[in-house]
Amino acid sequence: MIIAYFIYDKRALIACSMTCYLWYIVAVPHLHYSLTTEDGCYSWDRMRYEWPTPLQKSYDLGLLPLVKRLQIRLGLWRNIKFTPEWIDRRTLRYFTALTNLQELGIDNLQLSRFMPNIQQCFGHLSPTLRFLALGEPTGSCRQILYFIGIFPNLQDLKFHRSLPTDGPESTADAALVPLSVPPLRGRLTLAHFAGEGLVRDMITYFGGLRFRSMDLFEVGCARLLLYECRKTLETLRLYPNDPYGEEFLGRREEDTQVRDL
Amino acid sequence: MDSHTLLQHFDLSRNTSLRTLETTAGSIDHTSDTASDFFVTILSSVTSPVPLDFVVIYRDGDFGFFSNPSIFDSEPDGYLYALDQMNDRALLRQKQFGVFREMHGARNFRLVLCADVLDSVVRHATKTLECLVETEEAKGGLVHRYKPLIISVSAL
Repeated sequence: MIIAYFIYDKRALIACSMTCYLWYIVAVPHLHYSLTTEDGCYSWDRMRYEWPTPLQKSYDLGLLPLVKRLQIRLGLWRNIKFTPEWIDRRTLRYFTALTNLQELGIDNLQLSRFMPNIQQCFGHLSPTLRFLALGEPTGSCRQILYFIGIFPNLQDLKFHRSLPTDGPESTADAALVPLSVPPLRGRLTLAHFAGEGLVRDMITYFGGLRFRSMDLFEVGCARLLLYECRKTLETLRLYPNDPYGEEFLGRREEDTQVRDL
Repeated sequence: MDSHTLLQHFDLSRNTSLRTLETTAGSIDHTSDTASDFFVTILSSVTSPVPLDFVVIYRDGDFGFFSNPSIFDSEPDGYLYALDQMNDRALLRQKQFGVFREMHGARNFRLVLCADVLDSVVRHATKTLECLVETEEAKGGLVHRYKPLIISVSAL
């Protein structure tokens, strides 16, 4: 339907949704497609995005099943971690209502803290999630790999400012085996990425890499990635001298902002 | 990074499926040999016979337009532009064709110029790129087998 052409035009979508019930039904999934929450410390005008306000509001209105994209933004430079404390009983209720989520972005995810209850927090997303973006995650390679394996339909991956996680693994980590082998045949985006160990683990446990598209910006293991995807890679994006290249890589997040209510 | 080191990182000789190599206009810096060397080296490593598109993405700033966040919040068409910047950018874009010619010597490809700009600028941006191609064509500066393709993607 023609209303789908207005996905980036919130004003037009809102106008459509108020025209009649039929138009409302068509417009409302586009209006609530994307949800962004922040740590609330950016500025006063960003307070409405403060965690978990957007989730709570959408939950109260029964709109969370319509959300396809969730972005949890934390100030990467302020060292605020996304830990299990952020998901208490009340927030978990909102989180589990995201039954159709396809794209998830989390900044500063402290995976090691989530490990005991990771299935409880994220397991309900496993049938639908297609895209996962992690900004500066902390945890061992095996923990990150295990997290990726929770989502058996994952196609696209993005790591932004990944810290080296190639240190010695604990015995508990060594026993972690991904629950599934996601297809990962879509787009891989890496910026300031130093986790060659993670890539090697992905190759070992997922039986190789098969991405069709790659965005690389300041990546230490480009050779390995290009070799692994030599039979599948169709599109390669490189920004060697562009001071704004990194900003360009974040375009998907900017889209999120454009589409947020 | 010399070409030998570069090839160690971005060796595409084993790739059998690459169809598109994409970059931003900001990466094609005509003032130094870096960009030219970078892409010439990478393209020279492509051995696959599959037709290749080289996509260059131009953004609002590449046309001298800069959105003003404070205006942008209240008025979607709120744009600032600087005439001196626009002239500088026009010169830069013309010189970029010199880099494309050097790259073409390493491997045949179709040049795709993509204007990734906000909706209010898209007409100006595509027209600018069309003029650029026509000027180069008139000068005989287009060495590509296929005429460059101009496309645009935009958001409100």
